[in-house]
Amino acid sequence: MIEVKNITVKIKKETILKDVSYIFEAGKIYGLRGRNGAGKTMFLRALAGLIRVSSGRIVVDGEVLGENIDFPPSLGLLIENNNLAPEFSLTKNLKLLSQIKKVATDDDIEQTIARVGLTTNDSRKVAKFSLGMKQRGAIAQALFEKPSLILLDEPTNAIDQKGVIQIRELLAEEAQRGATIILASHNLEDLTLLADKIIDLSDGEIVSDV
Amino acid sequence: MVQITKYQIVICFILSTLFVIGQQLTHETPIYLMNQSTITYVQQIALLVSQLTPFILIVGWEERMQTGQGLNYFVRHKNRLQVMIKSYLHSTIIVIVTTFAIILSQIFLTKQTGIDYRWLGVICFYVMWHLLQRIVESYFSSVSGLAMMVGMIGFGLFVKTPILLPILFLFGRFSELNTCKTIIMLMIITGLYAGLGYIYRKKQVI
Ligand SMILES: Nc1ncnc2c1ncn2[C@@H]1O[C@H](COP(=O)(O)OP(=O)(O)OP(=O)(O)O)[C@@H](O)[C@H]1O
Ligand SMILES: [Mg+2]
Repeated sequence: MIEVKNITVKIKKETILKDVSYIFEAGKIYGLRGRNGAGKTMFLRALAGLIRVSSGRIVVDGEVLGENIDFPPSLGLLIENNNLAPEFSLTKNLKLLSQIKKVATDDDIEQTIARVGLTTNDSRKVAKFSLGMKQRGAIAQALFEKPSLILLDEPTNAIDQKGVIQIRELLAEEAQRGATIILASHNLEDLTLLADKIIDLSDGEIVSDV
Repeated sequence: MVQITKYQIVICFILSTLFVIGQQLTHETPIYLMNQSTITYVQQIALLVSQLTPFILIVGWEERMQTGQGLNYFVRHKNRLQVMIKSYLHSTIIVIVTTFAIILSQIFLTKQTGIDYRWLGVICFYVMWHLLQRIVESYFSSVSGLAMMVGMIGFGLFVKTPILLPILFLFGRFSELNTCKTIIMLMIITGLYAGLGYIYRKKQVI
């Protein structure tokens, strides 16, 4: 469970998030909606610990971000760009990342690559991937350690129609497993089909949730 | 993780060894430990190139950190301090490996029996320099860090006014290194690490 308590984020006097409070429960999918510049990405960054809040608290399973932990302990993250090292294959990318936490096995890596619809023994560098393949790879990166919190910024960008359906099924499975999923999207269909709750952000404030 | 690749280490070794061999063919004293006021411009340029080698490698590595796996890499750690220590230790290692390559090839070529203790000062100097640059970079921008790095090298090599002597010591008068200065540098290094850690923890956006 993630409790967001009255967080405000200011960068150089500009207020990016204003007094945002929310409780995210395990096993649910939340959709973030809002116009360009509404603060969706910044909200995800704050939840990931990549930006410090100016006031308020983010509590992840009882631990306050920025106190004894800086990042949620079990997190899968995809923010804006694909963030994979272009000079390595996808498998190598995931293997290198898996060395940090050592919670995922080679099997987990292979399975996740297959689940996002890519071929498991593809030795090509990520640089040679198509845009949609990179995006699928980035989703695999966010999911392969079976994290309990999954933050995805526009995950279905650049993915073909069949792939979008595949990714939606995948996310539904992850939620069934008990993960909390928060995704920002401009794709209304993604949000209405997937999300248990849709949160509307406008100028850094939550204006409604349905 | 990916930061230091095998290739980087190999490049470090080759470049520094080439540098030493080239230099050794013409001079007896290692160029780092020569009195700087007596070395020629050709030697200064050789020094410049060799000093740049480890830093260029580090910049390449940092780039990858930031543009490549940056965010995914960060959030898999417990806290920011852990990220900082890990990543800066890696780049410190590059600096040390390069200097060691120079020392080893120097010893090999001159068939020395012992290590000139002043080399320790050279290593400290590199590490210190690197940390200073990183602090500027984390605090302001990566461009300022790069500018500082290049500026320092040019400054240290080409400006020789007496007023600047104390600063020049920092910038490369290796010939005047001694135990006392090395200890001072070790203390400064510790302080710089603490400073970096502090900046990393306090930084709002990473
Ligand atoms: N690094 C930054 N420093 C300062 N301000 C920033 C930074 N990144 C974004 N902002 C500002 O924060 C606000 C929210 O931006 P954010 O990226 O969260 O929007 P978004 O809802 O994700 O938009 P989009 O739909 O275009 O992705 C914007 O006003 C933007 O200008
Ligand atoms: Mg965005």
